[in-house]
Amino acid sequence: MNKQPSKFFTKLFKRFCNDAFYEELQGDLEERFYLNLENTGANRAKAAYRKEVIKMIRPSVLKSMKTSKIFRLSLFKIHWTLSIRSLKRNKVFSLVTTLGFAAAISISLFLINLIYSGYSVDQQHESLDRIHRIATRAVDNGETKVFASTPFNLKERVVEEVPGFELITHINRTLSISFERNDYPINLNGIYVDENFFKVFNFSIISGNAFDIFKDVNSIIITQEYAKRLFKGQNPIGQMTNGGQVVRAVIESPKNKSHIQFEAIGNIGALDISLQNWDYKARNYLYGRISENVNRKVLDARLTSLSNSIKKEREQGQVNNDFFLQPITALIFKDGVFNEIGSSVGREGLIIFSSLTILLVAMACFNYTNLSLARALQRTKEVGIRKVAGSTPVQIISQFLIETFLFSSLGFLIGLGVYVYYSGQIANLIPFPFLEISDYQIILVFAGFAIITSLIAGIFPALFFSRISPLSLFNKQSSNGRLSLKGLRKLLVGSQVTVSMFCVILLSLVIDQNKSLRNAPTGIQSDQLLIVNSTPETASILIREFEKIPGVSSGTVVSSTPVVDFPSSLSVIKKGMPDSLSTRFIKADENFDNVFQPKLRLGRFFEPQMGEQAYRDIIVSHALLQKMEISENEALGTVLNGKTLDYRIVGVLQQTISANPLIKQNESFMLISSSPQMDYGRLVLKLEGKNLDNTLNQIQAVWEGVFTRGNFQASFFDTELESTYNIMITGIRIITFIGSCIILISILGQLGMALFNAQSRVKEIGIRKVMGAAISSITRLILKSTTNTIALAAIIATPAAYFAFVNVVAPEVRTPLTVTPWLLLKGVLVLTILILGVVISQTWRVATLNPTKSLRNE
Amino acid sequence: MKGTHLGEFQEVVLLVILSLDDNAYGVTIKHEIMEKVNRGISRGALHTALSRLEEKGFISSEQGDANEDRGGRRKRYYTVTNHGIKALHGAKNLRDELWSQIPRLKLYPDYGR
Repeated sequence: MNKQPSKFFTKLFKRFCNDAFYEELQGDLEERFYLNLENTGANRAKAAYRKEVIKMIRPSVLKSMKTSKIFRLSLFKIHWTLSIRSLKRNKVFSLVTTLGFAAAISISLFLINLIYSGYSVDQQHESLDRIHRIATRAVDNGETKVFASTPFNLKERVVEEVPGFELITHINRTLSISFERNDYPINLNGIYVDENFFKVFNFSIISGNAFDIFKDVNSIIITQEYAKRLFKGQNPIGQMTNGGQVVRAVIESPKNKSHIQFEAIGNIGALDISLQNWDYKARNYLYGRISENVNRKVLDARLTSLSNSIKKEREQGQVNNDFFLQPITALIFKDGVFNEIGSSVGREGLIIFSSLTILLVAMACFNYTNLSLARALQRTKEVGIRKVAGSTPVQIISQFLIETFLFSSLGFLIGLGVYVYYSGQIANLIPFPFLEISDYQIILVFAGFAIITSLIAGIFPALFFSRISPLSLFNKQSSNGRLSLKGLRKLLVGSQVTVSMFCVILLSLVIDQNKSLRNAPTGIQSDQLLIVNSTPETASILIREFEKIPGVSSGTVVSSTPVVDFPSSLSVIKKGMPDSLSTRFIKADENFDNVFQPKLRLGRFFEPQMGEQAYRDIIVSHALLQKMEISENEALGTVLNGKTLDYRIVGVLQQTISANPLIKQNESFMLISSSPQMDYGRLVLKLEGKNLDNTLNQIQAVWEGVFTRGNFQASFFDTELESTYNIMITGIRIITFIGSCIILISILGQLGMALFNAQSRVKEIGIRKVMGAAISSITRLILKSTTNTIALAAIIATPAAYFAFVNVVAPEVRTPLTVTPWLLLKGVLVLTILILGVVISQTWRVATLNPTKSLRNE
Repeated sequence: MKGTHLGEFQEVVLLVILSLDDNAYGVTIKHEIMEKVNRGISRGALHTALSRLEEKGFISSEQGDANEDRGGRRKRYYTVTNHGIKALHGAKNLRDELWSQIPRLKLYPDYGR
């Protein structure tokens, strides 16, 4: 048994006891303890000791507290003035730290907003914590996946066999309606729901009665957003869609409100009966509100037993569905869910974005710390004098923290500005919720974030300065090598350069990829193509009329515009082949070649078709021939079987006609011969001649002759193509933004190191110059560590960026860029020149300093 | 008359210090109060009383020599100053005077029976 008084309580006592009394009092307590030890035994003696220590907490014994002095207003004012003065004096330093903070903070703001928005959706629903979604875990292609959707027939079984739900609602995401506005169809996608939907989820109804749609299957609800867009100033209630559905109510838009996204809502009774089976799962969802006092685990167990009995009944089915509950709070951050009803960031995306942001903030904080320490040589004298004059360490710490706070709040303001400028664009770009920052709560969170950042970044330099002993100022020996953590700093600065090198290379590759995508062969001639709005009935009349205009060389109708539109696919099979092949297709008439002018390797273009034919003529891509193992010699006349129609090859394209260039697509392609009336998509005209304005006016005149109502709309093919690239351009802009923040911060880090290296070697350089060293050799000397870092970074980052590009970016695009050494080198060179430029600009000053000045005081 | 008033507990402490003579320090004072007055107090409370008395000038203290059995920690020995003795006398006189003014019958109800 330990016969000592408790060490912890002794320490505690020492901590709070006034030093003048400690020795005597502790001695007394200990003497008493040993006395008690003999009289009453160890346990009682210890207990008595503890009790005595606790009872010592009284005003006459406690240390007098001085800390409250740091909050004195006058001192705070002085520190504030000092900080502003030092900010003005060191303009370069102030600028780089502020920008560093700004970059880090603006990125963090995006992250905070994303998380805040993600958690703030769906908050309006009553008893939110009891609303759950039934999700499916199923094995698909050997992989276990989580699906948000459930089979159509599950609802009945859940209602009958799983007690514990207060309400169950069934949602189907296949509603598609269109309104005719100015003779032009506007499509809305939405959901079919049952009556419980409005009981489980609380969306506010703007006008009309939501339950009216359950009285008649041919009625719908539209969102406020579309009501405004479609029926400006008119009453939307009672309006008809093209399919004859009547608008019964207007509901608020779910954007930023819910994870369930829709533009319209219909009655689930109107859903096609053929979908009501066990196999249809893709766009079908079940939500339920659990009864009060029912445990989610119990329900999960009931669902599992239901899934098992369904599996047994349907043993012939290959799909093994396991059903389970998901709470609906923060659904967009849930792990890898397929068939999601709205948008999903996913846990992976959240983690990637968060860790990038944390990395960035850490880099910025570290940089500030590094740069402040690099200035230590200048400021030791200031701090020393202040200490001699009687400042306590706490006061010095508070001064430096105020200075850091000043920098970070400036950075915060700039960061907020950047964020506000970009957030509009981002909000339009990303499909998941992204709130505007009108809410001052978020701004408070942002400001709190900036303050915390400043405290983290500022505490180390503040502690460092507070520990400077004024004596050391006059002690020449101790002034060198006092900055510890040198190795760690080198490592951190080095990794910064490596990360930014990686970003530069990857960015330049992505930009080059973008350029090469734009120049990639599309298989058609795209200049002077005009797309005109029309309807199936009038398309062929319009074309006949347009072709009379001298400036129009030809016109055609296609099911979807080549290159611009997203592809549609069907599968074909050749007799004697085991597998069918999925191929992209466009349905086109016989004028396709006159307008788009694709080149043929073999065969001929379509001829006008008369009456019903056994085969549809097709023109196929070379890749399709290869995949179907058809040799070029026997290609023409070969018949391929589709699900409902048969196709006969009449030609082979020199080059496949691409679909939207942003997506990875099937190289198998075929043009299917068709008539304008049957498969109307878009009307495309090929123009010729120079007087485009005149031609356009004539086209409009003809159009208005055919359509008495409505607006003439026409756009050039190149413009439409350009607008598809806009998505990519915004994406690139975001990546560039994050990338340039990282690059900026690492350049600042280099600047800090260079400043530190140069200033700590002023004397050495002075002596070298006196001994006859040239400026260039001195510069080289200082630059050595920088160039070493860059070289090392290039060696690590180049292959990393290459692999990242080949494995992550390249598989996503249609024509991946072939990476040449020059492309990689370009990024390395850009960053090297930037860093060296910044570093040389700082070292030059020191190198050109007159040695008589730097050595005068020695 | 600020600074001259003597509380009841303070009076006890002063008397105990006087009775302990040369050996009056924290532990013995506390022990003596426990034994003679039968009152358990904490060392902290005693410290407060002692520092109060010292502020008033009733007692003085000095650090003793380093002591082996206390692990080298010194004791603080207390002695009652003349001022303190005067205050004790004052307190006693006050009481005696008050005692003398009370009729015996009230103090000793059994007297004369």
